Amino acid sequence: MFTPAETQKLEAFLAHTLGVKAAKIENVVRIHGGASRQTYSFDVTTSAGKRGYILRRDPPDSLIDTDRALEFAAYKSVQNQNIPAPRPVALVTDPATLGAPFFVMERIENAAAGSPFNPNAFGEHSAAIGKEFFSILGRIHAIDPHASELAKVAIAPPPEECWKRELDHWANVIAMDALEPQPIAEAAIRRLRANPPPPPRKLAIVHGDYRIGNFLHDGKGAIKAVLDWEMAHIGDPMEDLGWALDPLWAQGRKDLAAGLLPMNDAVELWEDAADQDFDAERFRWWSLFASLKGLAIWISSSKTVVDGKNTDPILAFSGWYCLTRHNQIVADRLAGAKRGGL
Amino acid sequence: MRPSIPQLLAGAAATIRAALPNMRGESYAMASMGTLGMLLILMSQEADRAAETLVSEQDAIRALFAQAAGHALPEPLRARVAEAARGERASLRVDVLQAETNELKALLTELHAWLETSPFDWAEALEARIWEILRLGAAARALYLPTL
Repeated sequence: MFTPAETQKLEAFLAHTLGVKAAKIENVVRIHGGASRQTYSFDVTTSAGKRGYILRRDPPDSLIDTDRALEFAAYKSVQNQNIPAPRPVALVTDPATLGAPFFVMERIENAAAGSPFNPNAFGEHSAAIGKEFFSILGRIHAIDPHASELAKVAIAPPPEECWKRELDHWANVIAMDALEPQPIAEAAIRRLRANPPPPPRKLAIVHGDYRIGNFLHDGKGAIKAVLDWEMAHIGDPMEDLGWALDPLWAQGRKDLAAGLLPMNDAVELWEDAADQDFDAERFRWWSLFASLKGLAIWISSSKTVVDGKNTDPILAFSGWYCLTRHNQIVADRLAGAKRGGL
Repeated sequence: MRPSIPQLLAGAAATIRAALPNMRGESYAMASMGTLGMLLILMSQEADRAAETLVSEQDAIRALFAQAAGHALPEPLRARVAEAARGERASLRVDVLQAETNELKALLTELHAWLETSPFDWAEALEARIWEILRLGAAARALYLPTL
């Protein structure tokens, strides 16, 4: 948790930020909010009353300030856009307050995340959640990225370079972090480079990790907040669809998009909200890319555990379960594809 | 030895899952213990089969290398493939098998990349066989989650 000195500094900081004389922090608990960040929930009492907040702090061995600024900008970009998301309160890149950069956002009350590995995470509300899930994604993609807060901290690539920028990044992650040969990932990288997709007709804010487990729902079929914007960037909206529809998240329900509702329904909902057409040719490339990106993330998770930098069991779980599943998904797909094709 | 390693791991996972409802208010610890429980179940699946998976994969790769070495591969790739095809297992310990498999897979990746650019029918056939090895290897390592 926080030391008494850290709590005192944070209380002073929040009082200043919220424009009140004093702020008292209570009920601090660490919660699971992604293994790459330390996430805390707490109540703050001021003269205006009591409210819940979430604080996301970089772990000591982690990331550069711009990563935090990017996530914060992504949250700001979707405010007042009919996108359910927590309201960001403050970004602090100076480590003097809590020993590492952090940001604070308002807590979403009476909501929970559904596990991506529970095939019945939403029970009778699966279809309702699915409809919201794909409509919200479409609304994210309808935002003009060039006019967003994200554009202030993220480079908007030329449309024809979206694929290369992402593929180069994640191929490099695999090259840097792989602890053993990855013949399936390497083959996928070669195949993706040999078959570049057409450029998007327009760029979009790409969430970067839009999937089951990265939103809060109310238990009655409504999504209350989209979370985990740390991989947000400007790019091809098909990238998010590829990730959201990756078989890993469907838990064996090949007939259902994200394991929630029929594929055609999901695509129609997205098209209506995004005000653009689904492009099957681009999607074919981005869907394979999504599985490759997954492999890169899980390979990195394994390395983090082996290096002893982070012992959170979710990283070991990802390095085992998710990696083996994505190897299977990619191998099945490319073994069955036309030679050299997607 | 009895209980076996898979039995012990599954038992430890069951103990953790039974303890979870009593960890109210400890959100992070509860989630971590739940994940640890799932990891133990995955480990119990892998513990029993790891050596067999690696041995089968090594045999399949060496057989492929023996076949590939008979074709007009560029040197020194052909010579390296031929030598690897003649290799023998030093031990059945999983860490030794894994190290040997890693060496074979590194060479397999080089061979695969070369075959993809080759116009010959035999190259296409070898490439298809590599995909079958990779597909079967991935399937052999599949892990199954317990019902939550």
